[in-house]
This record gives sequence, structure tokens and C-alpha cells, in this order.
Amino acid sequence: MNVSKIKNILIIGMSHSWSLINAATQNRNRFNGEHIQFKNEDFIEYDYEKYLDFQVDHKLAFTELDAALLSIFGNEHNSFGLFEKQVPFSLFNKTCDFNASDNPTRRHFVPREMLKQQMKLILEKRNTFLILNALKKQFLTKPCYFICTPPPIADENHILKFENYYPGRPTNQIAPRQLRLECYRLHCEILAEACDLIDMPFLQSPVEAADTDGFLKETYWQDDPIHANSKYGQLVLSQIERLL
Amino acid sequence: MSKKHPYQGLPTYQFWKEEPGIENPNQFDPVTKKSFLIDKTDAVVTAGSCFAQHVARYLNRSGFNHFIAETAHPMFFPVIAEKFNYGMFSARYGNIYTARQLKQLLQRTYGEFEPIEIGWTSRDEKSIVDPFRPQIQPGGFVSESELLADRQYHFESIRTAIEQMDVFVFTLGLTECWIDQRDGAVYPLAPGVAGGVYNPENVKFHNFQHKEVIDDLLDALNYIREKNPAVKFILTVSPVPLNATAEDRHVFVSTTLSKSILRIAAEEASQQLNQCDYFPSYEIITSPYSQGRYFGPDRRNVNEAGVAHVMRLFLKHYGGVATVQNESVENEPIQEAKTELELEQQAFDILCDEEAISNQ
Repeated sequence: MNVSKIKNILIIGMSHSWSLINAATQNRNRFNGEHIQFKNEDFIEYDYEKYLDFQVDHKLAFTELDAALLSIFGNEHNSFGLFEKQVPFSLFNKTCDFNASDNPTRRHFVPREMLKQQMKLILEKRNTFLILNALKKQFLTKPCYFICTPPPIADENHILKFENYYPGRPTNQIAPRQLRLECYRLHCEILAEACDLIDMPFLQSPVEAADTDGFLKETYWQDDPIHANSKYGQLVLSQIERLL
Repeated sequence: MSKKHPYQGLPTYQFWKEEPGIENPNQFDPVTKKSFLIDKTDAVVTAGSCFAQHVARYLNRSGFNHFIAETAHPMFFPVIAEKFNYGMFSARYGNIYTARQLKQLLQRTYGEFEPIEIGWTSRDEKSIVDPFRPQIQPGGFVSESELLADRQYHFESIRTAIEQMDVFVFTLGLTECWIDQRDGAVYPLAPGVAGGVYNPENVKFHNFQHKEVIDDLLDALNYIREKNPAVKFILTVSPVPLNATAEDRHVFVSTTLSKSILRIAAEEASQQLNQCDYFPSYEIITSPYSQGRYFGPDRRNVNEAGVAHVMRLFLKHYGGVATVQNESVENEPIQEAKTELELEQQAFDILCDEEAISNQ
């Protein structure tokens, strides 16, 4: 393992990639980070393959790459699990037998596999899996890691502090914590399976970032309801460093 | 003036050679009596074998109130809800092939029967399968607890359907089944076919005799009437032949016996119960008037033209719907018929547990 050499990393991502970008910026003695920012709309408005080609070629011209880190499509679980739906639902955990909701009797039961298929279809509609393939082709000879999205924040009070983050959403409609966690796990499962299909390593969220229940520890919270901060990004970059 | 013979003056439908279907199969109409009409607002609940899914599909399309009690959560795309078999029948019970299965489902729904078997391990050993609707959930359930939670919602939905429906349409499908010797629970598929482990000590093949089917059917229908005295019944027999028989004889010989028994049971129930009609979908599809044109390329599944004929008559007689007559199938070019069959394949995917059976 060579930790002395500065690693050239290209961070390709959406909103969650800022924790990595900021961490790389704060650790210039260890990382030379370049980044490409995407938004969901980018893949709707453009021919995504050409768009990716252009963006990635453009960035690769600057540096000899050690690793590409993909942090894309990390918020889908929030669209299911952050706020209560008009008809609240309940979901079961894969490994333990508990009902992932506070009060299952007033909730519409949803089979886990069905929610998984729905989430998968949404990701498909956003070209997620095609984009993963396209990026994989871009980095055939270079290590390319898919960075798992950070775990959800358990504390409702923290989420409620940012009432303007989701305009128009009544802040009393935060979904139960276990439901949020289970939607997150489902999301990760889908992305990990997609990566597995194309032999792209899927880097799990650092174990030390989560509390005993699996939620993001307070020290890694960003000043918003869903993202992790640069300290979390540093944990991920350390994982990468160990792999290179 | 006395009759020359007892047939004199009888309605033309009682005479084979008077049937317009001889010349034009599309005009074959064996429905001669009905006890009631179905209003567009009447809540219609459907259940039974695979053929019942066609009835449900047409009711959905034709403006009738096909009562779906077990709905998917509204956040789901219709394509996902359909994939998980919501809306296929009034509740997610899958195919109910035998009268005993219907009777036991009712008993289970109202907490009067709790089978020993809760869940089976799926064939890939990655999930849990419901022994009583083994193919209802693609990918299976993650645990027995999840299966039980789903079952709780399922039973609540069935109770709602039973107690609020105006008309119950039930299609009898099979007499052959697999019975758990420990408690008498009847499975739609033998353990091992779509999940579970086949243990000949616990599970035995049984082919219901006509007396058993009549008793089970009457028990089930009377049970429903206890919960909902005003409900009307329409019974049909599935024209789809058996996919496989566990009897040591040709599958078509078993089919004939099975369908005969079911037809007798439906007749018996319709004679014993008020506002309980037999609707001859079996006859419409299998009669010589139809010249075998209503079966698909596998000579087993009913094609779209056959389903359309059945449902045109169903809606005409029970819904008072004057539909545009289908073009004569007699003059249909073969090439076009094939294309239509191919399209049908894509147009609707029906869940047929029985098709999972093979000798492999």
C-alpha cells in the first residue's frame, strides 16, 4: 500500500458527491480531486452517453487517474421514505422480523419486493443502469468504484430544522425512522446488484459512520436533512486509499 | 288441441339443427335463462381458475363495477401493481381451482381454519412462498412475518369483498388437488412445484368425486350467503383443459372427467340455491359449433376471440349490453388469426399456477 503518493481521483456525482469533493479539497496532500457534477435533469436533456463522454474526456485530460468514484442517484430512497405518503405504508425488514413502521394497523402493507421493483423501475426510467454501464466503459482500465449513498439521519428534530428544504411539505410528516432506514437499505441493495452485474465494485458506507441501528452518526450530518458532510467524505476517501 | 309429440312447440334452442351457430359460430348463444341482471353499479367479485381472470379483465374494461377490494398502495405504477397481481381478481387470492379451496379460503379468512403450513421456502431458497397462492408474489416474501402481514391485509380485503359484493362470479377449474394429511389443507399446487418440499407422508394427491365437489361448493356458497344474504351467484366451468393429471391415464381423459364433475356440481348448486345461475362459458368454447377455433396454439388456452364470445354473451344477458357483434370467425383468414394470437400473448399475461407443473 502506497499512502505517500497523492492520488488522482475523479469524483462523478450528484448532490451526495459534495461530501467527497469537499473532503478531497481539505486533503490536498493526499488527493488531487477533480469532479463532474450531474443533476437528474442532465440525463433527460442530453444524449447521456455523448454527454458523459464529453464530460469525462474533458476531465481526464487534466490528470493521470488513480480512481473514479461514482456517487450518483443516491436520493431515491428519500422520495419513498423521508416523508409520509398520503396513505402511510409499512414495510418489512429483510433480515429481522420487525414491521418497519410505528403502527402497522393504520398503514397500508407493502411487500418489500414490490417496493424494490418500483424503486428499480424509477431508477431505470432515469437511465441509471445505462449510465452505470456507460461509465464503466469509460474506465475500463482504471479502478472505478460506486460509492454507496450515506445512511439516513434518524433524528426527526434535525430534519425538521430545515423546513424550507422541501418547500410545501408539512414538516410534521416525517416517516418513521425504521421505514426510512429500510427504504435506504432497499435502494442500496438495488444499486449493489446493478454494480455486481457489470463488475463494478460497490463501496458500502463506512461502518464507523453509522450508529448501532444503522443511521448516520450526528458528527457526519450536513446542514440539511439528508446529506453527509466532508468528515463523512474523508471516511470514504480513506476507504479508497486503502483499496488503491 | 293436444300435441302430436312432446317436442312439438318447444323453443328452437332445444333443437341442435336450429342453432344459428352451425352456419355462423359467432352467433352461437346457449344462454337461455337468467335469474337476474347485473347493474353497472353492482359490485361484482370474481374468483376461480385462470379462465376467471378473463372474466375479470372484461368486467374491468366494460364499465362494470369489478370490485377490487385488495388494492396496491397508490404510490405504485400500474405496471408494478399488475406484476404483483393486484386487480387480477377482487383480492390477491390467485387461482382458486377447486371448490374445497374456495371453502377453505373462506374459513381461513374468517379465522375458522388455520392450516399447519404457514409458508414454504421458494425453489431458489431465497424467499418464502405462500402455499395457498404460490405464485402471487414475484420474488416471494422476505420472511414468514412479511407473508403473515400480507395475508392479514389479504383476508381483510376478502372479508370486505364478501360482505359488500352484489354478485359473485366463480369459475370452477379442477377436481385434482394435493391435500395435507395432517389438517386437510388443500394446496393449489403440489409442494415442490413452485416452492416447498414434497413429502409424500404429509401430502397426498386427491381427485374429488362429484359428491365432494357438490358439498364443498354448496358449503362455500351458503357460507357466503350467511355473511351476505343478498348476494347473487354466477357459476361457470373453465373450458381450459388440465395442464397435467396425477392420475395414471391420459390428461385428456382426466380433463373430461374433471369438467363433467364440475359441470354437475355447478348444475346442482344452481338448482338448489336461489339467484344462482350457471353461465355456459365451457360450452361456448368447447362446442362443435365453435369448431375448435377458440383454443390457442397449445390447444389448451382460450384465445381472445373465444374470450370475447363468452364475454359478449355474458354482458348481453346479464348486463343488457348490446355489443357490436364480432366478425364471423368462420371467414377469418388464418394468417390474421395467427397474428392476433401473437398479439394476445402480449396483451395479457394470465397467472396460471397449474402451468408450473411439468414432469421435469
